Amino acid sequence: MTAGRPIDPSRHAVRRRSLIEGLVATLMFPLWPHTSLPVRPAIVMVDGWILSEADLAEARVLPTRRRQPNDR
Amino acid sequence: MIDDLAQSSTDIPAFDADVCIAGGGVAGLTLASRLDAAGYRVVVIEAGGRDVSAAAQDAYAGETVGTENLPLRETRLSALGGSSNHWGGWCRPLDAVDFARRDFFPDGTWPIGQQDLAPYLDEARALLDIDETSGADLDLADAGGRLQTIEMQFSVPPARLGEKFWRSLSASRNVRVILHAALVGCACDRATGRVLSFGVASTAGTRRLECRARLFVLAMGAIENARFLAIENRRYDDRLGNRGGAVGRSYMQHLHQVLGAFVLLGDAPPAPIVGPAQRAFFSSTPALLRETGTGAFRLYTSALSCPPLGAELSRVARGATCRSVAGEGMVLVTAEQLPDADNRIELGDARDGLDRPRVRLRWTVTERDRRTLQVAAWEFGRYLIAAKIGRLKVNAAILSGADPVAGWTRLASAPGAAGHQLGGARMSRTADDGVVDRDCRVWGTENLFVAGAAVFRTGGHANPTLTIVQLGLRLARHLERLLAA
Repeated sequence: MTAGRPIDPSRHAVRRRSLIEGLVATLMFPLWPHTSLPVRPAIVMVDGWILSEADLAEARVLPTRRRQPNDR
Repeated sequence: MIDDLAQSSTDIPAFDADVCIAGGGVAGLTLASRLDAAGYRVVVIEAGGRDVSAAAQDAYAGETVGTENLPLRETRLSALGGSSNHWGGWCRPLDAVDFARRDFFPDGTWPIGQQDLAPYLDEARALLDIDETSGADLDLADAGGRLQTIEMQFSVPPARLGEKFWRSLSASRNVRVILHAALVGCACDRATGRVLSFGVASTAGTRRLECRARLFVLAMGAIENARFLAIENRRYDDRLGNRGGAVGRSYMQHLHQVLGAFVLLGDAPPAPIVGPAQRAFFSSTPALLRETGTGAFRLYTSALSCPPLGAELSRVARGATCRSVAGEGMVLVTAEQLPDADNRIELGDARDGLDRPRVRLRWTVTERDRRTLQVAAWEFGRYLIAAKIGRLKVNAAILSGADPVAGWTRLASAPGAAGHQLGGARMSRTADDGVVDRDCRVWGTENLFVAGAAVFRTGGHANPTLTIVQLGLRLARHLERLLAA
């Protein structure tokens, strides 16, 4: 026995934008909130680490290094 | 006055009240204390006693289906004060974005806004003994508008509301608390939708009472409120807030687990994040939610131990960025689970000691939820790089979408869910897509209300107790107006 009747899934689905809404959104594109966020530099993931591309570029320059006091 | 239905020698006469509240937890005691101060006669029926007992906890046992969940019996406390008897005191009000319409998720739109709860914030803070804050809400220049630091507030030590109000409740002439008294039914006029009385039984089932009042409130926690409504709707043909089948639907948790571990680089400049010896709190910004269509999240750095990762980073990045590792730490995430109608509280086949159906909880962490966690990881990793703070190693379980595994990626304090039970009797604009209206009145009834996190339309990332108290104070004000009319 469930708590209630089956529900109308359309009420719980993400509503699709209408054609007009889509057109307005396109015209408003420069003002659309999320587009105001700046584009960010690329990052990469290696073995679960989130790294900058520079991290890997420098790796080619410095393939090895001496052990440092803070290394564990 | 405090009575105990478990003590057979106690004579409890019939009690006509202005308001009958089922549940003496955070929501119920907030209401009772406020109505007491306003001079109204209140009866609070609490299934537990002054202390937690195995007998009272037994009613909380149930079945869980879906993603591994926290045990139903252990995450809730059946005692005066409810979950305040074991909470950690973390507080933050919901953000404005939590109430607002999100284009990617219109189902989450509340019928009230942050401004409707703001007048009760100071009183809620005082009731919870909040006297410590951490940080401030600030944009982070290096986070590209996607992360911000946030203020968290703390009830220190965590307010135990049963103990806090024990003396005043004992001395009160207006409030009568009946311990070890479980709500087992209600009498309702089918024609008018008016609740006439609550049926009450002692936890052992040996004594019965009928509580009559003008107004009735369900304040037993999200799961128990939905369970009660589901049981009674069998008798009342879904008239108690279930016209649209919403009772028990869209149960929500806060996802809570280790996001990853970070390595601080020695040449890092001063920044809002600081070493693992200090906590720092971050959250998603509304702009990020609009950009990604995910739930909100909060991050905090922690001094909890993790394996040394500096050497691993030097292998992965081949050394250039990590010549001088200044420290390591962990970052934990608490994330909003966007409501999903299939996550639901329903009635199981087993029965409790009072012959009521036990609860069956269907709960799944969806792909959308997992994406929220992944967005949190990517954004925090980006921020550490942009701010020249360090590098993040993401918990593999978050990347793979798997459940957390043993080891440093799964902590006892962050097992995957936070134990916050939200939804099941959500607030709505119409009777078709929720259980209560903007005043927390159960749709289809004249005088039955719900208090607590059951009414949350969405959960945000904030710990819910402060909002529960704000909602309770607001409901008390509404009930006062009704009683005065």
